[in-house]
Amino acid sequence: MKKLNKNHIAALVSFFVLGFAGFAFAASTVSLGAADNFAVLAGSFITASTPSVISGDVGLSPAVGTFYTGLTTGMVTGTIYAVDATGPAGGAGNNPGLLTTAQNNLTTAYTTAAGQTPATSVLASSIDSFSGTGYTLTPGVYNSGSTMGITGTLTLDGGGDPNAVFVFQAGSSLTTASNSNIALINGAQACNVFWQVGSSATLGTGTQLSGNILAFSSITDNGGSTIQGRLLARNAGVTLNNTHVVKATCVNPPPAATVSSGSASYWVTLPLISVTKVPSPLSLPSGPGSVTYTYVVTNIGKVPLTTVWVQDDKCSPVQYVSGDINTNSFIDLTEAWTYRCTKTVSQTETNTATAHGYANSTDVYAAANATVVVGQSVVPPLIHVVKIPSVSVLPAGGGAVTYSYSVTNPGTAPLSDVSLIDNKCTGLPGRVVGHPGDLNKNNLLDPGETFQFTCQSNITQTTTNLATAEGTANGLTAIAFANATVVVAAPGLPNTGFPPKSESNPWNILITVGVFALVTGLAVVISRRLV
Amino acid sequence: MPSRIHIAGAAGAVFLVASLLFAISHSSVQNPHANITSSITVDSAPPVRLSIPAIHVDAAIEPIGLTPEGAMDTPKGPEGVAWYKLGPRPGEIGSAVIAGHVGWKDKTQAVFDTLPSLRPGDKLSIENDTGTIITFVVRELRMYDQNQDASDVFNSFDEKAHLNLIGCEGVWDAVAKKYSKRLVVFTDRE
Repeated sequence: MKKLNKNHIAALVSFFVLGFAGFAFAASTVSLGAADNFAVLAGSFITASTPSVISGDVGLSPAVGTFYTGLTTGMVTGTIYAVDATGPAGGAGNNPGLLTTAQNNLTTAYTTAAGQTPATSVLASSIDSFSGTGYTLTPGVYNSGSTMGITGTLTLDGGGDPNAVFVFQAGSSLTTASNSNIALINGAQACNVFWQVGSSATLGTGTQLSGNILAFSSITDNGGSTIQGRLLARNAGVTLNNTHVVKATCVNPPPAATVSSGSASYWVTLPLISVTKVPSPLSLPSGPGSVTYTYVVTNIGKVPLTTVWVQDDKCSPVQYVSGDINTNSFIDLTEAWTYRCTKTVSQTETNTATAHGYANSTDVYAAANATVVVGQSVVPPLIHVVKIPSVSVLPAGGGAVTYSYSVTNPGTAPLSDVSLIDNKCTGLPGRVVGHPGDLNKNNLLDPGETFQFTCQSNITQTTTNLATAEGTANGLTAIAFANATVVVAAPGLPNTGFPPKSESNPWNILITVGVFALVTGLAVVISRRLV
Repeated sequence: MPSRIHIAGAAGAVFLVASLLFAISHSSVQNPHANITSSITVDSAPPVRLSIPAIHVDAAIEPIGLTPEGAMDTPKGPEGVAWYKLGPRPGEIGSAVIAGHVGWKDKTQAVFDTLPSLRPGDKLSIENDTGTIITFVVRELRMYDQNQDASDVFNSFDEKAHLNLIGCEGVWDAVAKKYSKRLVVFTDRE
């Protein structure tokens, strides 16, 4: 739970229609079940009034296949399902069981999202629940008893948690104005954003919406909107209109470094590794095709790394190409090893490569995500972050660590809404504005530019912290993570001993001393008497 | 003269009380670093009570840091236990550490005299200052030399919450006022 920031307070003053309670409350992710594979799911009809591009499955139930209008298999890089054989030509048709399950799961998800409490209240208004620019919301549940509306940019700030969840509950309609935008920063991911809409959702032209819409009735795009998420309508229809829907999937941070148990490595340097991943091509406008991913692994630490491998969660085999110049099987500090993997990409997808290295009894990992767009000539964003701590081992009790970060754009599309955050170091900007590395001052992270940052933290115990960089291009968001572990050495074992019972009974000593004193006193008295 | 005997007896009694006071103050000198605190503070809600029903332990917890020599400090008295406040709180990811004395002091049996009777599977619980109870299960008991590297006691990398208890074992060295070994009970959050 975090207090609403200054922007909220300003907005509260500016827009009397708003009524935030002052806190955002934790929200839980909503399981979509069988509806998860669907980019578009509807109850009564699906209409593509102009050509659209859907990455993910499309389904209609309980209405029969004849209630598909305008949608063709060429617009969908996934499967089109219907409850009978009357769906669009070339679709897989005919899977009432799957569709019934998906709709049932959608109902459950809708009810779950609607029931999440406690919620921050958003007062109803016709369209301007989140109007104007500069709105930034922290993770939580936001509720309007009636309508919810968005104009301008609504920024969802994950606060450095890639699992941060945002649930919006609209009692009736959700409406976005033309060119409105849901921006994701600081680890917020579209897969973790849920719009539960009590009646229908209407997206104004050119809306860039992040999240999954779970509507009781219908969902309508007025034209040219990009949705990274899902359009899921329980009872009525979905109207597509030059709409680009990319089914959102979550990406995960790489594993933290692990130091072997019982090793004496605590007093030496911990290794560090980094990996970039660039697909070629970045997009396949004319449909499914072959994509080659190139991974470059570098050693950003101070010790050579062995046992190096790269795995990709959606491409195999990943094969070593070159880079081990002295053929010693270690990535030396000056080396960059290249790996490649080629596959046929059939729908827009984001995959994650994980690189591993080993040195000083420590396993280290790095990860890189890349999205390839299929079916549209949209260039997806790519972002990369490198994080290096000033020290890797501190003596018992800890001390200060300065982390250095470099954020770059390995792709071709300039990135907007660039953010950088660290979950255990405060002082980074979050949303980056006016960075000196923005050489052409366009407020975008262009290829070739580097945004550098530092952050200092005092740590007393072994700490792994996670940096998250995020940026957006063409309505799609790219995210990158970098872990770094700093070990604080163990103190000496405590001296937790008192003497054992036989040696420690103070009464023995005290009685002896007391008797001695009495005897002495008596002796003095007697001797004086004798004198 | 009975009065003189009386005075001499009183003098003896005063001496006796003085001896007692000296004994108490001297024994606290055994632990010269008890009041040293680190300048690094942890912003946390600390644990307040340790309960180990299997060995009838129910002890207050005091937060402690390091001695000037870089060892974990110890609890002030025989009855309480000490939590290493520069590490994780019990229940957080990582290895929290609690130490207690063994032996006798001030006619009192120290809190961790019965620590060696713990067996894997025994449960213990921590109450923190918000009233939350966190339960841990004993995984193993391991003996350390007093100067052995304790990295495995204070650090873990499995992204789980552990609580490790430290007491003394072995032979009492009356000159160094130390036992020769340390017994560490490793536990995992239930």
